Amino acid sequence: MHHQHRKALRPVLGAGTGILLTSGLLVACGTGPVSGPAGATTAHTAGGHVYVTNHLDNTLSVINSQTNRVTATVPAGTAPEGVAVTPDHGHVYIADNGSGQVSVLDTRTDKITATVPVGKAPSGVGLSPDGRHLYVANGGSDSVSVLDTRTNRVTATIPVGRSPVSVAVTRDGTTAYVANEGSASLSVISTRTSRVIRALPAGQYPVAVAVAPDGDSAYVANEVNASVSVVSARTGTITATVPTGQGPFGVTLAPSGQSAYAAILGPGNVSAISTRTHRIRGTVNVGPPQTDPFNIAVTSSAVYVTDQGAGTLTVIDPKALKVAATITVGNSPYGVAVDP
Amino acid sequence: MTGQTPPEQQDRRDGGGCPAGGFGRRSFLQGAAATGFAATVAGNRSPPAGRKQGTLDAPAFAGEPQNAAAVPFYGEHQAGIVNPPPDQRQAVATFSAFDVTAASRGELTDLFRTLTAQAAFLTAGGRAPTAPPGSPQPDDGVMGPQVPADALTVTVGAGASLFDGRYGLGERKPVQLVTMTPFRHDNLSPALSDGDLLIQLCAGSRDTAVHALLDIIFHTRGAMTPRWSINGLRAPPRPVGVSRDFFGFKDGIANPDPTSTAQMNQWVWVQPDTAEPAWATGGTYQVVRIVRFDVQQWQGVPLAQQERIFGRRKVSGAPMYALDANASDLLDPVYTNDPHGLITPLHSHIRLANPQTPQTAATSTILRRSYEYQHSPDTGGTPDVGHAFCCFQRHLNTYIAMQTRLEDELLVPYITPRGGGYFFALPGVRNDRDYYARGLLT
Repeated sequence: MHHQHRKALRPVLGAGTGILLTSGLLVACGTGPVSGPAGATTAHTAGGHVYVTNHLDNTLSVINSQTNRVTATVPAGTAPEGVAVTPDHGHVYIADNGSGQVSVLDTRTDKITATVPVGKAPSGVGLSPDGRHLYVANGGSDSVSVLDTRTNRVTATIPVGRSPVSVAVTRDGTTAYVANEGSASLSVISTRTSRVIRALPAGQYPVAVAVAPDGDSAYVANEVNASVSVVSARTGTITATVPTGQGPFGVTLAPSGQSAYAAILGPGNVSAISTRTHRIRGTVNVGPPQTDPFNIAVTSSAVYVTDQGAGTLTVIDPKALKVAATITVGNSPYGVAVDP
Repeated sequence: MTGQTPPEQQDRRDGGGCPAGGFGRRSFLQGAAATGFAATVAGNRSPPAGRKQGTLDAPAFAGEPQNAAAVPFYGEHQAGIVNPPPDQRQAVATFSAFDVTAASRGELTDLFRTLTAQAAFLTAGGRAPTAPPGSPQPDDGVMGPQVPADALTVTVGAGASLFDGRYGLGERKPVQLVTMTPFRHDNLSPALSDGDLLIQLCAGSRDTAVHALLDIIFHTRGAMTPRWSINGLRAPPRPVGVSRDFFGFKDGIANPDPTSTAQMNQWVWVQPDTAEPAWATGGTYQVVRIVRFDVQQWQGVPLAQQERIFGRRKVSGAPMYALDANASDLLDPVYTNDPHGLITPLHSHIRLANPQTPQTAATSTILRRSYEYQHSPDTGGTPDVGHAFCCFQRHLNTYIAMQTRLEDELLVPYITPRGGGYFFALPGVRNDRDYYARGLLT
């Protein structure tokens, strides 16, 4: 577990993002969420928290991952959806779908400290591995906003496909994959140039995307054709289609890269897909119909899934593939992020 | 008008197993037909308080057809709202609105007492009351000598007009109760709209509902007169799950859980210590809308477009993300990740009813309990079929907000709301000493 307190103390990873940083935004460094008093750490910055956006009551639930208890319920923006936490645990970024903004939460105080206008109906978010850039899929304006997390300003707005609702950044930070719900495609963004460098095929209505550690294989949840597609950036083709049951709404890779976890809303399942065989190696039912598992976050020891209908966060033991805990959160929980 | 009043002893309920014991004079009853049966009725009918219902009072006649068991009449809430689920045992319904003609508050009280007595008997079933030779018959005999319970429920609601100056009830009107005003595309007919009272009859068989309606009209004549009525049916599963409307779509899927007391208290039942008058606790606002369907134009619409108009799959009733024809209609439509409405159109019926946004979360949950009607053909020779939409909610404004959103729905060209009204379904009758609206009137 990391114990870095401030992102400013971390080395900047990835040449591409470093260049972007120095090319125009150093001037704003002092206004960003940078250093506080030395040693002013809390349990938050020490990690061990799960963050859940509650779409219908405009809140963020903060959960202690050791106790599985909600430690705070924070007023967030309007219709909060995608959520990401920085690698240093210091800040949480929330896409406010209803207001076209990103809210920035300071985890020391559990308060929103900045609100950044982005595009219309922002939904999914993805952070670069160094935490320096947030990619925001603006589902309502068919674009991705790039937000500099030091300045909390948008540095680029990238046109992508129709109705982008999910974005994932590769572990080397060079590429962002965007799922275009309305185009049955992925847009591949070069983080260095902030441009789309290619489009990849997906299934019908791709609504979630995750990237394998190799940076080549993208896993795509196709909401309307009951499958997860595996797309190779190298070949530009769909290399596998994994039947999942009706309504795959979320997909995330395990830190090990050995499994992809998919949230299947219809049957209320979370399925673990082997990234080696592209077969489902196990399925966990998280509740009866209308539980509605939706988005997923994964650590080496837990799989977290938001249940929109039930108003809960399910914690799954990834080794046993069993439900370890069910935590009541807010109204229609949407996104989930966990301290890396 | 003879002004004749039945002899006191004929009207008394002596508590010997009778509902609403200690009746006052039913002063509105007019004429000879009113006499002669009440005492006989009193001796025959209805379970005593506290008796478990579900069986008929008298031994069944040999060869009697098996009808559904009785739905308990007494309780905190009226039956016919949550209990029983309409798909289970109640295939037919009649919604009948009445104008109250009682001359005084006392007569209004008598009316509610009479309604209570008739409803308690009809819903429990039992030996049809008889009269001495030469006297008028208290039961029309439509159901034979043994009236089956047949899962009948009698649900009584009050319209805003009951709270006008006539009975001095203005101060006690439920705070949100108003007379229905037309929505943008409504074509309301006064002959099909509003009323002082609404009586919803749901039953297993049509004759049960007809008998109950005629019985109630007979026993309350002089105190209220029929204003409008609509008969509906609830189709059996075709082939599974929730029943279909006459557009061929499954209807009434999205409901709060009727088995959850917490959900019913949140969304359906008026709660104590609120802005509502104390007597209204346990009641609920009822909306009925008679919505004509243009089925001929509808049949010309391709399937895929029909599904986009409703926001559900036609065959399965499942959400748009489910392509499997065998998908369950219980799957939740979730479109929070569909900002352009590419999967579930923004102006589809279900998405406007519940847009799944924070701004609309408080006005998106109602308890639907609708039936389908058929009058066809109408005088113009075209089919007159449609929907006897019925819903219950703790706040009438919830429905009004939802229906205002639906003014923009894609279904508008295919439907014409023709009538109905807003009512307050009264709290339940607690026991055989209680009666409808007692809290309102005392």
